[in-house]
Amino acid sequence: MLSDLVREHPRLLSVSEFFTLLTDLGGRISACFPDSSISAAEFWSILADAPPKLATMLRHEVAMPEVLVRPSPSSRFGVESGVPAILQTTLPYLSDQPEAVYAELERFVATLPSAAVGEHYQQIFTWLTALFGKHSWVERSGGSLRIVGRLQASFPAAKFVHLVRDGRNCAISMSQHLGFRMALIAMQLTEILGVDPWESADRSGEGDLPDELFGFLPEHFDRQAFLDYTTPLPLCGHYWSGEMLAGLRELSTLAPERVLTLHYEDFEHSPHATIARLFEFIGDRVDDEWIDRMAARVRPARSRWTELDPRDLRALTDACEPGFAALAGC
Amino acid sequence: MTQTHLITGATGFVGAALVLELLERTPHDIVALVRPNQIGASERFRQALCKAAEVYDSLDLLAELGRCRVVAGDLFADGCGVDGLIDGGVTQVWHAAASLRFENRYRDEIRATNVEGTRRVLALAERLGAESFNYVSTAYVAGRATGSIPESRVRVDAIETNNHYERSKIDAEALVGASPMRTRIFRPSIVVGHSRTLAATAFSGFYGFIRQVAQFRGMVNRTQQGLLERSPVRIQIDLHADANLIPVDAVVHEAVAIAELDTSAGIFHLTHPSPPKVSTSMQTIFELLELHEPIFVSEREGFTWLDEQFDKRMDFYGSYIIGDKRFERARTDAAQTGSEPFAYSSVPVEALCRWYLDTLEASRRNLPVAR
Repeated sequence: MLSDLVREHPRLLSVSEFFTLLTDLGGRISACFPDSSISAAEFWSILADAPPKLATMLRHEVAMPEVLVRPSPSSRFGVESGVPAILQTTLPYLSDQPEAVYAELERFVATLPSAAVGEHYQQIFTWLTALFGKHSWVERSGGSLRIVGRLQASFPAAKFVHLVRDGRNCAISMSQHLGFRMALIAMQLTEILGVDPWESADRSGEGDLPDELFGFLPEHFDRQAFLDYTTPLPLCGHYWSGEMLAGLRELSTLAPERVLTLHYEDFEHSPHATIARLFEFIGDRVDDEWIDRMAARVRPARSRWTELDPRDLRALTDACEPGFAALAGC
Repeated sequence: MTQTHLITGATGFVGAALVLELLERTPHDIVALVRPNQIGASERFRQALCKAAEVYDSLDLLAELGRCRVVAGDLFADGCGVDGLIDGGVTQVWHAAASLRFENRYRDEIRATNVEGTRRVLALAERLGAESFNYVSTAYVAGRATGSIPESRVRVDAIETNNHYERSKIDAEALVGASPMRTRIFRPSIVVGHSRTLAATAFSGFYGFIRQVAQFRGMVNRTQQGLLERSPVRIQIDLHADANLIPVDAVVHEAVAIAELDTSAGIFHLTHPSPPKVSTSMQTIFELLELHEPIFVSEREGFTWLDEQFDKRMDFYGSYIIGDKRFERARTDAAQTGSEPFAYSSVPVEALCRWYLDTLEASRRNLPVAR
């Protein structure tokens, strides 16, 4: 919803799902945020390397709906090579010719001097903003609270919008999301094997893998098992609480004028006022007519915790409790 | 009189310690039947023995390695793949090779190694005219039995097991018991590191349990940092149950002492006479991993989702933590009369855990960051 609102804005560039995909659903966070200055070639390597978990998902046709590209014979990038993260959602969201933009971006990046990775990211966002005739950019990635500390360090002048949703609805949504499913499976595989199996061929810990996870190793990924895999609601609830606890702690270090917390439910209950507040914070106000048009597009969320059976609801609510407590007052 | 001992599993945890024990305490020659890997059978054996000698502070024994001959073999092959490579003259066979895996997907491999492998080694021993067959089994062939566990055969069809591994060892014991050779079945409990150095060379059993707890902590931390530090996990255990941990050097000391007595035969429990409790061992593991002290319960009623996940991850270890098993060892003690007994002391659970957690930590340095 947020990405769509920004995309419709006449002067803002919507950089959608850039960091979620670039970090390969959270598996390549350090690689995407190196501590020291990097060259143009090193930065391009971050942008151009096909994220391996996303490649598995594309190869087995279980990509998330957010991924707008599919490997095709006419494409420069196929099933075997994988597709660079920026070409999966961000560029197709902006252009009908994403590979042409990608080729231009490659030429632009080659001109950049060595710099901190945050400066590189800002350079390409600014370049894209100019390319599409906009004034400023907004990056929106699902689950980006996980890297909010790194985003603060990389974008020291940026403002942050924290879009909050009832943890229970969020958990229901997560439990159905293929990307989140993949991230949680990868997390488990990684902790058990002692290495990320998409980044390392070391399988010395394979004997510890429970049977239910064995079929998700990249070398014998079982598509049907992946589709059938249930992501338990309490797990999603615990995850949500964890993100609230850690993310809010990190956001609290920012000056109050740099953070806006919006509740998803506010978009449903008072869409006009909430949209107006959002763009006022971003610093690019829009007229009432435009806001009314956008407000009419806001749809109620599909996930409804009120529809859960009492036992499931109790377990989920318990798991979300620390998150609710952390959010109280936001 | 010098004998020749044929050993399978000599590169494994108990097997390598057994070779060192035989080199130290007997003048016998050793034929090690080793499955070749990419470095070859001989080099694999040499590396395993050097490693064991190093971590058990027994480097001087490496001077005796000349008494060992390595034969490339394979328990999955007919005749163990050693036809013509070993002539007669084998006095005793030690069958220590085993699969310690437990997940269902390994069921065929577990049976092929532990049951069919034992059948082939028995046949080889008979063909070579061995006088004795020593089989390294496990005290956990007791399955779900509780109370006093006798040093006697288990009734194959009557015993309730916890997993394929236990079942395979029961079936293998039955094969050994039916052999016309003089057979000894050694049943160690949970084999842990050396009593002096604490070191181990393989990490199943107790170490597998610690590792699973560490992995569980890691998974939960990636979900919500510190959750298990703040919230206790409920664990179903028997508060009276022992964690029968036995140092690897105690296992091989007693096994060799018994095998050196020509007349000994039958089943022997190589178990600690005064083991720690499961509850205190588990508290120690949790404390060292900086987890909230667990709550011990007698049934699963009231388990939260997190408790259930922990329970599921520890399923294989159920036979270690649920049910109070007290292993009799009167036969083991009697069989060693006249030989120097192993000097048992209380098990240094905390030190063992610390040693392993340091080792584990070193192997998990390449984990990606969570944030």
